[in-house]
Amino acid sequence: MRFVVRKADFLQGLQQVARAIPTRTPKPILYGVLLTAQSDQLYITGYDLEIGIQMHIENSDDNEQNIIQIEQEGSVVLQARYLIDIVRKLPHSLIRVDSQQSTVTIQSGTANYQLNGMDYREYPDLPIVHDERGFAVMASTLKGLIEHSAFAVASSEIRPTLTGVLWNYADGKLTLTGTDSHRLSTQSTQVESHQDYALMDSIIPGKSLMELSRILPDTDQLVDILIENNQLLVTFLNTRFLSRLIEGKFPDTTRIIPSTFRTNIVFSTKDLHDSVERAALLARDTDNNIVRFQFRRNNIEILSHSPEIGKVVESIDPITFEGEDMMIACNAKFMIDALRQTPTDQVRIELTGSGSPFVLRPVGLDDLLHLILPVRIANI
Amino acid sequence: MDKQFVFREVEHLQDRIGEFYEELGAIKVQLQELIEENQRLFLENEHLRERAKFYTEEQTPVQGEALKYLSSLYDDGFHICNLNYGAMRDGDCLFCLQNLQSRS
Repeated sequence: MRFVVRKADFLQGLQQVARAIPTRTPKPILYGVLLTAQSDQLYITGYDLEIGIQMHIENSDDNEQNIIQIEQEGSVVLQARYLIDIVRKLPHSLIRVDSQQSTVTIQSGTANYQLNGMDYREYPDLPIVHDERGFAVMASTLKGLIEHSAFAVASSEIRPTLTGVLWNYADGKLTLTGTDSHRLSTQSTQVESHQDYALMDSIIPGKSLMELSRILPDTDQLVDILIENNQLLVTFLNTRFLSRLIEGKFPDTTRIIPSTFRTNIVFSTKDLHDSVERAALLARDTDNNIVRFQFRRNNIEILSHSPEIGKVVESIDPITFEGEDMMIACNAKFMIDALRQTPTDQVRIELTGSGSPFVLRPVGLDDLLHLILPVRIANI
Repeated sequence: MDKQFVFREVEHLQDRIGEFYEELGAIKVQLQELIEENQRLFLENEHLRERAKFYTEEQTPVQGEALKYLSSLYDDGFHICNLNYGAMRDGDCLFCLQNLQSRS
């Protein structure tokens, strides 16, 4: 294998693929990145058996300058960590890579590295997903969907299905739901789909989605999504992102979300977020991070106290207040997380009772919802 | 010393001890009544508290044996949702509560 590639493109590709390189694995070959030169494209692949990222570098038609020039086809696996550090520091804007058997020569300007490559035949194949069209959604929209739902997944592996985000697709609407059984966040969006495309409810690991959202561009460009053969395949620009699915049944969440409310209050998202954060400073050490909210028509207070440290009371003015007075207590972390993932300036809190789940909705954005289960407390 | 005088003193003392004894008996009866009343009020208070708790938490009355067992299991700190039935619970669980609500 022999090729010359522009440093900037090569480095960008490697850095993107590096997200799929494991930090610890029993299979040393997975520390490597697979480089494959084929016809006039260079493929870069990272795969930790959970997620796989593959991208290719090719010359675009509208660019006079060559990005890549393949001189001889072939494949090799190189230690990702070393390769990325080396490429980053190489002196010249062009890099020549030449592999003879298992020795790889990397040359740029005056620097000349000889690296021991690994046998590409040992590298696991990426799962095969047939590239039929599934449905398409804008990159920035998908990024939003993931960010607004994936933070709520469970972190412990006790209940594996809850470490994933449920993807439900029905009537041209894609809905992502994440929950850890104490809180739940869900958002849906209209997507363009191939006709008669049917998607089974799929659970995709929250961790994989976090990685995906990091490499998704912030543009309106369409991203193709396909779920098949127990794999999620997301294709955008010159990148393919694969993730395994979580097997199992996601609990029914449709009936959890209350539909009628007794109290309905609108706040400035930022003011509420900052107030809760201040109250949470004292709640941090006590278990469950409990912060209490006293929603009264004429006075709304956020309280927290920790027996050894002290207490805090802060009042906050609502924008509107409808319904009865209410008092709830909840984990401050859930509240802060939900408010962070509220993209609008105003947020509506809908309550049914001090022991029932309450809902946070961004004002003017109907398809996003955060639900939090309060902590039951003795009336004080 | 006047023997008569000593005898009268002892007699007097005996009378006073008799009075004391009667008073003591009366106080004992009163005390018993108070303890009984206290106990009665205590029980009544407890029942009232239970009811009050009921109203403040707005729980619908528990119906059926199965639900009673489930809710007591939940209150003892176990999951009763399909997802994780019988596992130790850490805080309230959305799915368990939904389970309880849909059965009541």
